[in-house]
Amino acid sequence: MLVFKRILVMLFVLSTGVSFSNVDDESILIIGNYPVSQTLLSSNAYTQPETDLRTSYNPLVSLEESVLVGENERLSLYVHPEDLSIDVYQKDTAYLWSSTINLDYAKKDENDDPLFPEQTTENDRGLNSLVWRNKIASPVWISYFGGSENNPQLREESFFESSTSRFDLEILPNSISVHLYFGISQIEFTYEVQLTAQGFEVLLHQESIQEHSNALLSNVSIYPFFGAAKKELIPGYIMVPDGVGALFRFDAYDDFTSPYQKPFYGRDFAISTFVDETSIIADDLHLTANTYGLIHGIDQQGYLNIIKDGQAYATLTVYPADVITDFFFAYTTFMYRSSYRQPLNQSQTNSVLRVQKETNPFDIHMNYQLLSNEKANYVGMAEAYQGYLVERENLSLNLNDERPIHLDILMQDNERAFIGRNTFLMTTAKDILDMIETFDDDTLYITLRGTSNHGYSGSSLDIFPISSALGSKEDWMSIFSKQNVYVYLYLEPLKLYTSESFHSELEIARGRHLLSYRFSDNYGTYDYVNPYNYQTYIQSKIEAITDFGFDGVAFENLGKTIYGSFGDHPYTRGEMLHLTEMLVSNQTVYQGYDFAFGSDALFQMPLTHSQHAKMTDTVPFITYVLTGYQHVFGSYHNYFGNTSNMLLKMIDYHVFPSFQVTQESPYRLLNSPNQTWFSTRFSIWKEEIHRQHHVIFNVLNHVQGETITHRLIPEIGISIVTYSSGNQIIINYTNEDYTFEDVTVEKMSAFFYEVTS
Amino acid sequence: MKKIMMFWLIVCLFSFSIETKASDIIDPSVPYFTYTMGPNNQMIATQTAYQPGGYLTLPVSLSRPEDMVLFNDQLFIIDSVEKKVFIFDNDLLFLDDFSYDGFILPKGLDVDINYIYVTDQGAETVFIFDHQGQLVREIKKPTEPIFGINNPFIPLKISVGPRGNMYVVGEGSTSGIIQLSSRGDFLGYFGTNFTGNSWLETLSDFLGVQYALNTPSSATNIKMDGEGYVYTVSPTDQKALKRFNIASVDTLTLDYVNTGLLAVTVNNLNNIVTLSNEGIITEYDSLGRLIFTFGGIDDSGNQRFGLMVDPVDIEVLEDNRLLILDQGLNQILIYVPTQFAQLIHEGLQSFNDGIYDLEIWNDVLSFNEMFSVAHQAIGQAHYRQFDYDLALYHFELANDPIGYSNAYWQIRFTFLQTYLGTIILLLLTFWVSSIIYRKINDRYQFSNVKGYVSAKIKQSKPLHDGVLLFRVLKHPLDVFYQIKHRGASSYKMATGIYGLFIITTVIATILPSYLFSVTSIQSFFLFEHVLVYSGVLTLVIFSNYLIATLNDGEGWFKNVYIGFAYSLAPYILLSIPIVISSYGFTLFESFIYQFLWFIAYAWSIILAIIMIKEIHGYGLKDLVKNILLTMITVGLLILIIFISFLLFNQVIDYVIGLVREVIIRVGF
Repeated sequence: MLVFKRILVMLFVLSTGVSFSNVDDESILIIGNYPVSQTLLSSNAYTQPETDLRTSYNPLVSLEESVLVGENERLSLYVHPEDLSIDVYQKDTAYLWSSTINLDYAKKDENDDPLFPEQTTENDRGLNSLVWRNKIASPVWISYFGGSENNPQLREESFFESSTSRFDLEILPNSISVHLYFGISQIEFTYEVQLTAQGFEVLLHQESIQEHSNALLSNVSIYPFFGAAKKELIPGYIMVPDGVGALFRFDAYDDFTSPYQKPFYGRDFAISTFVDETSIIADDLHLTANTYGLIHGIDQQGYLNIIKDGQAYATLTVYPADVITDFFFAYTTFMYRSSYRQPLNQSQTNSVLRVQKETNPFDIHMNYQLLSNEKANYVGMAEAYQGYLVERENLSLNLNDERPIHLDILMQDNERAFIGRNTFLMTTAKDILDMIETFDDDTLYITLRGTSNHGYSGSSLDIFPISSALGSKEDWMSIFSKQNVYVYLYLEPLKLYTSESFHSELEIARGRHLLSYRFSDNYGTYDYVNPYNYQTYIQSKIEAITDFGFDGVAFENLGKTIYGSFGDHPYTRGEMLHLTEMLVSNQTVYQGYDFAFGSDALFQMPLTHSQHAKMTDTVPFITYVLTGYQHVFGSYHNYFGNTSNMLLKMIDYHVFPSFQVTQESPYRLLNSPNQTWFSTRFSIWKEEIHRQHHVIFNVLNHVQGETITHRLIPEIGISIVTYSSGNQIIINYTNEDYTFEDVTVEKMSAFFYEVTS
Repeated sequence: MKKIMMFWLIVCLFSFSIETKASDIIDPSVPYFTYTMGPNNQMIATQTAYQPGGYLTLPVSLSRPEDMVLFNDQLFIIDSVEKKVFIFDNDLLFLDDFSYDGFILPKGLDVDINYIYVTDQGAETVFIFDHQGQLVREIKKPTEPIFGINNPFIPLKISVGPRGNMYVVGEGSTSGIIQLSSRGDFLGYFGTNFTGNSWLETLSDFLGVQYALNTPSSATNIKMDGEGYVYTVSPTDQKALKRFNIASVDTLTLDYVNTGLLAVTVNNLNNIVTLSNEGIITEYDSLGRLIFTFGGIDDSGNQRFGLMVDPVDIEVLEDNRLLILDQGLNQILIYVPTQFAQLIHEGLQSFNDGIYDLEIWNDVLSFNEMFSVAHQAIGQAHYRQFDYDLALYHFELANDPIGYSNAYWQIRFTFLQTYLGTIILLLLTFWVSSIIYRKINDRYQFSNVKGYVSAKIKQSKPLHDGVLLFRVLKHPLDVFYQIKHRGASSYKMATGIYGLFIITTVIATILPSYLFSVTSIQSFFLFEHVLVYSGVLTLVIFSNYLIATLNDGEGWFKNVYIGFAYSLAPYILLSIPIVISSYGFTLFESFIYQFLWFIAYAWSIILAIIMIKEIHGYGLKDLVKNILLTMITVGLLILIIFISFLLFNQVIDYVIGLVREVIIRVGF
């Protein structure tokens, strides 16, 4: 019977066989120079030149009635005993930071003249709203759930909103301890501010939180107005790690009606409403790292705030001026409880609003690092954040002169056959060997997809043992014996598509622990799974894979998706973050966030941000954090709309090239679920891969293993990146030649400039 | 029997799809995906064709820009709230503006060498100004009788032809585009939209039931190209985009069209570019083939760079950059063609010039091997060069049946030219040989194959029953008589015939040649196919027996079951030869192919009717009654099954909801 079935299948499959060598192998791609318009270079897709170089001075803050808490070589910390505001005096720049301002800055006298002329300008709104006056005057804002259990209402309370609020301030050596009791909600807790060598830290331990009424604490923001910058008065910007990095300059504040607000690392599916991804529009990018920064005065002073604990539950908010107030400010809100919709029927047309019973388990720990002079910019922020990652042991120095390139190779896939499915080959081990031979001293990071018998579109977890159709053990050993070649197996451990059949014990186990987070994208409906239940399986799988000779796995999604679960096997988002950190160590990751930066390599890292209109610049914050420490590969070059421009960006951002390749024509994939690999044939791409690789490393070769210390945009479309050796790379995106010192940098090119000492 | 059933069960189980995922490939520099038409009429992702090139913030504040026109390196914009026409140079520097007291709600705009034309919805007037902003003429509702007294004249948009003839889109103008002479005389209606009846409306008409009149919708925007074609976009589901020639005939055949189209324009390659209310920009070549579709609306309030908020109009510059007038942003978005799009435009340019440049199109395929237009162009290039085999191959990849048919005709012609003589000779030889053989065998009797076979058939019931399948074609009455009165055939044989029928339907679905293929193997769901056909057969057989039982039919269930099986004989026996014959036909002979299927179906239906009559012993009147009631019963049973399925789902949903609510309320 089985033989009969096989014959039947073979006959029908043969009847549909089509040769797929439909492109002349001698074709050469035309990838010429294609300039980007000046309008585009002036947009927020690029970094803009610094035009406002005024010396920053903030007349709205003062040390009047503040009490010195402690000081060190660089900084002095003060606290105001009446309103609990803190001030930090930066000695090396003689600059004062404060968590509050003069609330009456915009007030006028009886002659309608401003009371504080140096603090106000003509277009100021002032602070007429009592709500906002109370908020800015308060050191802490909270939100809580009131109302009944079945009809919870979210309410806000700033500390000085109620006259029954009370506090206890204890000034200790180099720190303060503040106990707050909120009068309306009757919630109390204690937080601390401690002076450090680089700045100060803010801590709130969860066990100090007490709720004395039916009000349930939802979220907390501490010193949200710290470093607020008034429009037209203070030059500078706010940096957020949206995608690769974005700036909100203080001179861009027209016509915005809402703040920028995003949770770190994307939403938590445990509490967010479902959103389908079946769309022609790409999703917003997420905040990639647990930090943000603020600059007052270009290359003068600024700070970087690193959320050391509680980042999994934190949301970053950036208010441009004129949304509510005249100020630019940024702050973090920590979520202790959220409401969520509990569906009551399968079709989810009926649901109730519920509130989390228990609070999310975390302490708040924010670390503010003050930056000075030439470090007071986004590059200085990157350096500071880099230091934090090194200390956290997520990064270690990687000083070498490798010329890495990432090849993402599709081995097999499947398509519907007359009966069942037919798995077909796209690349074999021998083909990979041939590909490797074309590279000389380059370091190859190779990811293999579709190594199981079912191919890439089969089971997402069944990647090992390798299908024998791909090659013999000797073929694989030949690959593993190559110098500077690292081979990883692609693994998507979190998504389970509903059409995927359970054909292994593991799949059934996964199916049992499916979470209720069902989504759709252009490939179907899928659920996210509980990773704890097969953590052991993954680890044993990785062990088997490395024993075979592979270097590990390349995780998809695991480096950038964290979520909690309220189900039968509950766990928190914070726990999943730590689990991810552990799992990705010694592996590679696609689109990783900071907790995955400790992996062996990062693939598909974004080179842009979400491109909201409020953002004024794209800055390579994330990539500069990782330069010299980590291999960062960008998006696949196969699909660039403007290759020459993207190559320049990769040099500018210090990012390495990445290609998707197959031996066979991607036309073969037409009837498979995977149709996004539409230009991958190695015989066609071979020369172009080497050419682009050469274009990038012709320049980057000179600075491999170094870190980046400075970046200057002297004019639109020109970028000058300075490395730790002092040498520079000049990138000219424009359609005109550019003269730098004694050299001419041709249009649309990059130039390595050696600085002779 | 059990093994057979188990086999088919396994077949059906393995027919379930097992498909999972693939990661999205995103060009990191843009917030939208770009799609093109791939083979098998599927939309496939491709490289970014147009990148956002920035915004042109207008130097004057517009309140509600409605329309935008590029003419002689100047940009004209009409604002319905400001009630002004604004004029900018090609650097978007403000040049001039003008207004007119008579403006109430100006919506549309066009410009030619002499005049500026403004359509005012509120004033119900077309205003014509010179380039200094002085009013030259006002055109109100035409008074010509053929315009129609009751037809409204509420001009929304306008496009002006080379001789000053005006084509006006009117609100509620269901008779078509209003065509006016340069002096404002009504010339007639042009380019009426299609209207048709639904099946319910057709049935109502047949039964004399009065329905509301089905009037066509009026167009929403219009554009004229340099060759005199008039393009309109309309809020219809079908043919939302049309291209009319001078005879008001729609000359455009589209393989894909968006809904909600707002505006249309044409570039210097005669490519058609449309803009929808969802911010989707779609580019077609001059033959109506989809090249790119991309874009989108950002309704999050974040104004993502490259996405629109409230687009109203589109224009294209000489260098193929696109300008989108966005009311929500009060800006003009620029989209710049990428290197990839430029390559395709180059190829299309060559194509329009009659040059079939293989090199360019091969380069396009290097970027995207599934790009349908490229395969089609390569196919045509090979066809021109008489490489019909390669042309055939590419036309199939491009899913171009007409091109494929033409190329196949050439190949077949060459084949016949070469081999027809030999084939005829061989057939002649075979025929003559068989006659000679028969004559000699009749005389010398050295072989009696016919007698031997006849004897074997008589001895074996299965063989005898099998032969009935052939006999029923010529002697249906005889066969049905045997079935009814002589116990011919059996349940097993009939079931086998039904199985054979399903196999032949599968063959007929997936195995015809490319030109006549219904679906591909990859799109074929065996389980569903088997379920549908076996379900229909079951319903028909049971319904017929049920109705016959209630109407004094003589046939037993066994007779009906076996009889229906044999009535399928023409379909079963003819399917495979017809499928084989499809490999010899081109589209020119499609009528022959269709006719052969008609014979197969009709013959089977006729046999079924004869079977019902003979098995149940009906006269004509009872026969007709039985057939009608059978069809009605089948329909009712399908309805009952469907409703039961829905209700069952609702019950499950209800129970689950009830349990969940109890758990939540009680707080387990």
